[in-house]
Amino acid sequence: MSTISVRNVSKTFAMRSGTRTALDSVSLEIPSGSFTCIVGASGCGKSTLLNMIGGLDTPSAGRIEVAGSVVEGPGPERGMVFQSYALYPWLRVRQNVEFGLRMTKRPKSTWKQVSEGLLEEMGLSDFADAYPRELSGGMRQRVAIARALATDPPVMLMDEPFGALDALTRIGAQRLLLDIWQRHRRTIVFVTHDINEALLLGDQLVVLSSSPGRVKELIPVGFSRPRTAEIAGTAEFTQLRERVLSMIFDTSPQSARRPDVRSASA
Amino acid sequence: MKRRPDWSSLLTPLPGRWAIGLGVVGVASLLAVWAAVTYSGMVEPFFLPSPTAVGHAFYDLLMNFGFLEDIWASLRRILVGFVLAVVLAVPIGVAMGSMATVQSMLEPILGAARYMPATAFISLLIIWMGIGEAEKSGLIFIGVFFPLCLVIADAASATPRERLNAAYTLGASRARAFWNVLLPSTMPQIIDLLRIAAGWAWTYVVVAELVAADSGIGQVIITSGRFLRTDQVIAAVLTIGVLGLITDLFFRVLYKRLFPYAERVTR
Ligand SMILES: Nc1ncnc2c1ncn2[C@@H]1O[C@H](COP(=O)(O)OP(=O)(O)OP(=O)(O)O)[C@@H](O)[C@H]1O
Ligand SMILES: [Mg+2]
Repeated sequence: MSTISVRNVSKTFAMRSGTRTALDSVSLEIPSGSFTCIVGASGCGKSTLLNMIGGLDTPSAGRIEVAGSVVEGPGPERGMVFQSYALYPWLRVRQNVEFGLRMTKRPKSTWKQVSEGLLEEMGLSDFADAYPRELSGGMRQRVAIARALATDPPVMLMDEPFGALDALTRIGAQRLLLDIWQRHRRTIVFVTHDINEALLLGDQLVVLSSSPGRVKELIPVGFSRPRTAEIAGTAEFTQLRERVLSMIFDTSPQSARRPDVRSASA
Repeated sequence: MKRRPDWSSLLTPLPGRWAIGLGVVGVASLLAVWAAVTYSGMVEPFFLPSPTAVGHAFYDLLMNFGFLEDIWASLRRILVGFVLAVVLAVPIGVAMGSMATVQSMLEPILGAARYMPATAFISLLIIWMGIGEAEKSGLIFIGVFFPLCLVIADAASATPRERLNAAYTLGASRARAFWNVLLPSTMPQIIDLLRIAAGWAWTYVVVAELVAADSGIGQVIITSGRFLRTDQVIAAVLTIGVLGLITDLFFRVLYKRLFPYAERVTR
């Protein structure tokens, strides 16, 4: 019901020295209720793609449909979590979480129940009345997730949401996200630099190549759920990881056999 | 054992008592130097009267020259000119900073007006309004309004884009994003800019009163100067300093009250 389809989407930016193609005819089908991770080298267009799905940016060519209708702008049915949290410093944690409810004009009597439920789930009940600056990075990130979840969007778009977290906090956050996703199924598109994270969380992996960004491959991730960080130790995991890595850096056996085909023409 | 603060650490606020204490030390040192060079006779009283002489002059001004009325005259002019400038500059500046259409329309006008010194308008103001109260408040208005519009526009346009984007993805309309995100996001800086603009207002009130006035602190300064009363000039100048400090303090307290979530004011 909230399938995302990206059809032949290209994005070019006007630069001082001509134009720059960030994405080149990207096509993707993201099934409703699935957890999709987008990985690729820095600057390959991951954020650009996610922002276009979110309606914060428009494709130069092609189109994006969510639940059957063309994306024309941002909306509450596509929640977003930003790497920089983007919390509102003048609102208390509870009010931050309730922000979407206020904007979508939900009855005020329901706000408290929703925010308290989510804060409880995030382990932030004791901080409902704190201001964001009184929280640690990991706590802020959880508030941002709770805020996006409050309006119960069928689609969640997350741009490196755990990028700024330390390794330990990150493991906790990943576990929490999986937990929430298992409980309230929704379509999640998750951008990350971290291949381990992508393999741990995703049903499928979209590997983007760089300059210009293209879909290199769509890899189904078959590990059974519920998953824990332990799967990172299995041979299967390591193999998949190597495959993805070689795809991103283009060092697969095939391209190694015909060296410099690309750079010679570049 | 009491913990002593680290004297040289960067960007770390001192505990309140130490901050005030150091302020007192600073003022006391200045007074000490002033006292030393004057009481010792190193500097002639005509150039720099002693602290006690200035104190006497201040008392004399208050009791025999109606200085309180002059202070009130200056304050009134500032209040009218500054408040008028703020009431107009805040909405115009915010609109300029947040909407490119308004920005494109007003930028050339305000940009040019900013380079015309307010003092250059004095002749025009006198022609238009005579030398009454309107002309004085008018000068303050011109001196504050144009630059304030531009700095507020800058503050509004510096709103983190992601805060707005987050609001849109949470279902906010454009109007709600403006009222619920852009404005509260910019408000602390606006109050801080008003504090700085109040300083400009103090400068222009004195300028206005130096030119043509029969009351006001600036008028006292120019008249005392004519009579070579260095002690009175210094007393009046120091009065402005103290009143300026009080204005500053007012805005700082207001800032703390309004924005308990914010980092402390800088500068
Ligand atoms: N507003 C813009 N103007 C010009 N070029 C842009 C703009 N936004 C992005 N780009 C370019 O598009 C390309 C993709 O950027 P994008 O931010 O999507 O990368 P990314 O994959 O998210 O990188 P990272 O992993 O470092 O966040 C980059 O080469 C960048 O220079
Ligand atoms: Mg990015």
